[in-house]
Amino acid sequence: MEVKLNEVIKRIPLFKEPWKKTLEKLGQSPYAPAWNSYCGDQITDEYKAFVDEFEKNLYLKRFPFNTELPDQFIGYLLALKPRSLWFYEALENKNWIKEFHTVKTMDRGDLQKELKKLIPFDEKLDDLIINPTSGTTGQPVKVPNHPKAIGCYDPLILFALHQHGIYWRTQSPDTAAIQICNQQNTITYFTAHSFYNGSGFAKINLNNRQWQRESDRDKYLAEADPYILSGDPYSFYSYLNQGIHFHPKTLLSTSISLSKIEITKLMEEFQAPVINIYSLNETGPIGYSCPLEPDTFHILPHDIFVEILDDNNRSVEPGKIGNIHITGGRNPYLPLLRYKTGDQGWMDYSSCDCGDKMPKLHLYNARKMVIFKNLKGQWINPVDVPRILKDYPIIKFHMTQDSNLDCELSIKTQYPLGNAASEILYKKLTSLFDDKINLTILEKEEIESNQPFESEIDFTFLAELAY
Amino acid sequence: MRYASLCPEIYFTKPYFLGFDEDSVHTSALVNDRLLSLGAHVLTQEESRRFNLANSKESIAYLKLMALLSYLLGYKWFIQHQISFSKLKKLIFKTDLEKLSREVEASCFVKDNDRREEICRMILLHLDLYPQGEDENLAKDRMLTLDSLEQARIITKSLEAQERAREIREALERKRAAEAASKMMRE
Repeated sequence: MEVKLNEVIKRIPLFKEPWKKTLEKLGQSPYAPAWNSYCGDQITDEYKAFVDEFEKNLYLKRFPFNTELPDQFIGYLLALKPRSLWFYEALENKNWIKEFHTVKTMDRGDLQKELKKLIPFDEKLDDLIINPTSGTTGQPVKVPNHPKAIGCYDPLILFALHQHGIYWRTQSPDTAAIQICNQQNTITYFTAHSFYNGSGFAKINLNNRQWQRESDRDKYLAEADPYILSGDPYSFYSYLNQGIHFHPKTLLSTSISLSKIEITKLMEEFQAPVINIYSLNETGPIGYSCPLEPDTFHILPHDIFVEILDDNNRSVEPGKIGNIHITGGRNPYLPLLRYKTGDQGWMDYSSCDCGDKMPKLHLYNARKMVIFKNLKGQWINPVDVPRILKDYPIIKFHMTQDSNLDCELSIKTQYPLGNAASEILYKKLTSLFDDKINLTILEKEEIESNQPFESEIDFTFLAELAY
Repeated sequence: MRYASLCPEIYFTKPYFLGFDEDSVHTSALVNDRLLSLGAHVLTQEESRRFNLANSKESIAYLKLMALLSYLLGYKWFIQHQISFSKLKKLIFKTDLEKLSREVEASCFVKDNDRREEICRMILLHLDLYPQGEDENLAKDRMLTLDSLEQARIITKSLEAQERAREIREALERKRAAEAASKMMRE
């Protein structure tokens, strides 16, 4: 697609003329990949003020908490009670303030079915946006969001950098970050962020088909010179495997939990500090890796309360493993009340030598990297699977690959797919694996697993990097 | 403030108090007496008109509620402690009271446990007082739960939920094709 700068600029309400150079550099470089989307921060003056206020509080209002609901959340919940039917019903018990553990929890199923109860009555829907979810829990949900809530990602990233001793705040437009991925298909775009004084951002796909020449990837990155390179470990692996030499100042890893050894390895390979972020579409960023204990996450935003609950929604003792639940946040279309993330972990409420007062979260068995393989031995990123599934009425899915490379996809649908739709789905999925794979699609009434993907083929990040 | 002792006060309110018609009780006189006993200024002529059925569009249900309110404000604690005149006046002229009187019959504020608690809490909250053993949050939350107008509003909103659901569904569908806002990381 031929990208028009004006179309990008239209999506950046606070755009200033000097930022144009950055957009030209990122978008119209002779080495640039094929772009297929337009995107902007959609930040207006009003939203900028909201994000600025959020940033101020992010630094000032950090507080230690434990299993008890901190006082500062009571006002938040009281304000929502008359505005959202979900909150009104859930906070009916007259002792909920003292007995917060009795308040009912919510999960992805509720987001699928009860959004009408959850979104506050008086919240206008004009600014609603949807950031596509890759369905990392196997239960695709349309997550409504708001530009001002998305805008808060920028100060949250800056805060995480700051905690790692990286003080970056540019006054002149340059390239803030490039997000890399390696998928068969995904949206790619370039833009500028007002919060970073017009610094540029691009989302690129390392997949060969997106580039005119193989060498363009390296040249493009060297020319753009982003301060941050963000992505998931698989895209970092692809990056190194493709022999790209560019080293960013900082690596921001998301989506998948990393061990200390994996972080160290990434730091060595990229010669840059690695910051890991635990984040969900529904909640926004939850934690950033502690600089002293990089395989644990300090709670990142000041406006969320994290609880660890057992399967009966009772608080577990500090240090015990349980389900991670979130209350609070800043998304006006998705206020959270004990929202079950689908991940497990445990909390460490002790003070940390890194100086951050917020407690630490340890992820347990969460978001491990699963990669599929085709018969040629090439790795296939499972993120492409939910991209295909999103066109079908699928409530939940689970895809496995066994050691013979045979795949099985279980789906729970709103209504039976029918032969024609099943056949098209089958074709789309097998083409992802170069058509040769054995694939069985099963329509089921219930899917137990909360992990979307499982594979008997070990993708050991470290081993692959060593190779 | 011991709300626990204010509640029984209302419980023993004499039935005649609520059984009046416009000829038997002069609400403006009751309100004036109460203001005087609390050390406040009496109503102006203009203000008095609000409590006079002959000169007012307000219903008799509203006057009954005001009579009940005046009676409750006569509770000895209010007389012994100096309560803010401006807050008192704000409470008496609270516009929601007319709506409340249409929603709940005045006798319910005597007979029904929840409604009795509601009116007592409403008075206390307007005077910035909290029942003993409670803080602002707890008091506000309890009021929110008991508030008849709030309940009526929530019921209306629930009935409108189908319409809202349609709006949300349409907004989600409309935005599905539109691009999202840029964020520098994936989840």
